[in-house]
Amino acid sequence: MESESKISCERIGSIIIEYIDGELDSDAAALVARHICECADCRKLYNDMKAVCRAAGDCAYDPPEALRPGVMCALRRERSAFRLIKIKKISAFAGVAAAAVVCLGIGMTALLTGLEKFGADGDKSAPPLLEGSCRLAEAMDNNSSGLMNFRRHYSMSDGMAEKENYDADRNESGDGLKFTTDPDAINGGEETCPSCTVGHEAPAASPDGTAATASIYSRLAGDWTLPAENGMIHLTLRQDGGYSLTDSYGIVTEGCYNASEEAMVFIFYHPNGEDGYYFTLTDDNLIMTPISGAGLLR
Amino acid sequence: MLPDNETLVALMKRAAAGSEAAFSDIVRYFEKTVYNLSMQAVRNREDALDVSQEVFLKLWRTAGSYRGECSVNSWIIRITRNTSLDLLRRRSARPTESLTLRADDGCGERGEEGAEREIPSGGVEEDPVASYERRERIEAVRCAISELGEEHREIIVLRDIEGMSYAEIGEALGLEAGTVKSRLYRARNTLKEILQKRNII
Repeated sequence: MESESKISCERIGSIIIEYIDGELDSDAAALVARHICECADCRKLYNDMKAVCRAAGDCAYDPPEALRPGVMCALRRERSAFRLIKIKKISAFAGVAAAAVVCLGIGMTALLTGLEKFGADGDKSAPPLLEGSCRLAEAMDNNSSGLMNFRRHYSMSDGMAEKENYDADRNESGDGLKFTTDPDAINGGEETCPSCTVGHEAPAASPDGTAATASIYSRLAGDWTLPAENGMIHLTLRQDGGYSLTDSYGIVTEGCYNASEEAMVFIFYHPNGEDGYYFTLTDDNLIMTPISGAGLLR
Repeated sequence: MLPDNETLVALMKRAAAGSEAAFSDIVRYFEKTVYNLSMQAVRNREDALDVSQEVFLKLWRTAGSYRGECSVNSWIIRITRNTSLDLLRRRSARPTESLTLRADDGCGERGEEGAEREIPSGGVEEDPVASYERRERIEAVRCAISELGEEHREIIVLRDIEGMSYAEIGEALGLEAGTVKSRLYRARNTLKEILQKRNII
């Protein structure tokens, strides 16, 4: 097909980039090629434009080596995440009452004093049962039925560590828990929970018994469920740092947990050790991704 | 080079079904595109890496909703543009972190320690002087590109760095063929003027 045998310089200018990019059909491309051979100005234009394209092409960045492994890693974490749904929010008062039943005789006066401080909306204020106290939980094996027994004890700032006064059905064998009531061992603001070997954020005591800090614990508090292999897992998280988990086989594990909103890390403490999860919390969804391996949530 | 779209669609289907291996291939094919597009939009390495990882995570999560209405290439480019925009919006909501550039300011892409200096090496035996000159030149061109408007930077990345055809660019950006050509023409012309003024070409 013979169209124009010559093409004007003006026309060249408007299609030169298409020529460079290989977007012209062969006839048009041939016309441009011939013109460039003959016309010095257009040849210069072509060379300049080609240089620009080449220069821009040289500027490509190589993606960082961390990109692909980072993506695959994040992807795997997401795949292994557990999504717990909140079913109802229990009041902190109920949780405290349950704990009180278990711990007969431990400074009952102090406990009752703590209970009295609760207002009607128990979950709006944190329940600092005892001023400056650190809440420990210790789970122990129960021999016959496979249920974990649960002891809750508190170190009290007045030094009344009542290890002997635990609930009647505690197991004699597994013990070894020592915790300190020595005020010097308790750092300002953060108290070391010896069985957990981490610091719990003890709610700051204030005159009317409400806590200054504990927002993540108050938001985590409630009943959560998670579909599991053959049923549902129920997890009760209490504002005071204790939890109770019933798996789909009916086995109950109780202990204490630590949650750091900043680090987005959640740790369950239980007799066999500790299970760490990365977590994110929205109103009714708690997403837990195991930090390593399988844990309590299955 | 990218495999053809049919191959990519098949990979996306497998990824949607949960195949990490298939998805890993997709990441490998597209990481350069995604990273370069993010980089031109957000202008620093850390944010570009964040955006890129977010793009691929989004791609993974929504792999099931890709129905082949556009090429996989276009799909990924759109996700990249949206994710970069999100970051820029979040960034502009925090005025203390602005990374605005002025044309006479020296250079564009800033990491924490100043100008980005990621330059691919010239090879094992490159002469040090030539190597230095090449690095300086690449920096100067990057600087010039960073002074272009956003649309021009974007189309230069897609055409000159990624080698996409006009049709592919049109599909990815939602543009008519004529618009692709005119935008590319203006982008290259502007870049040419800057580079010529600075005696880089």
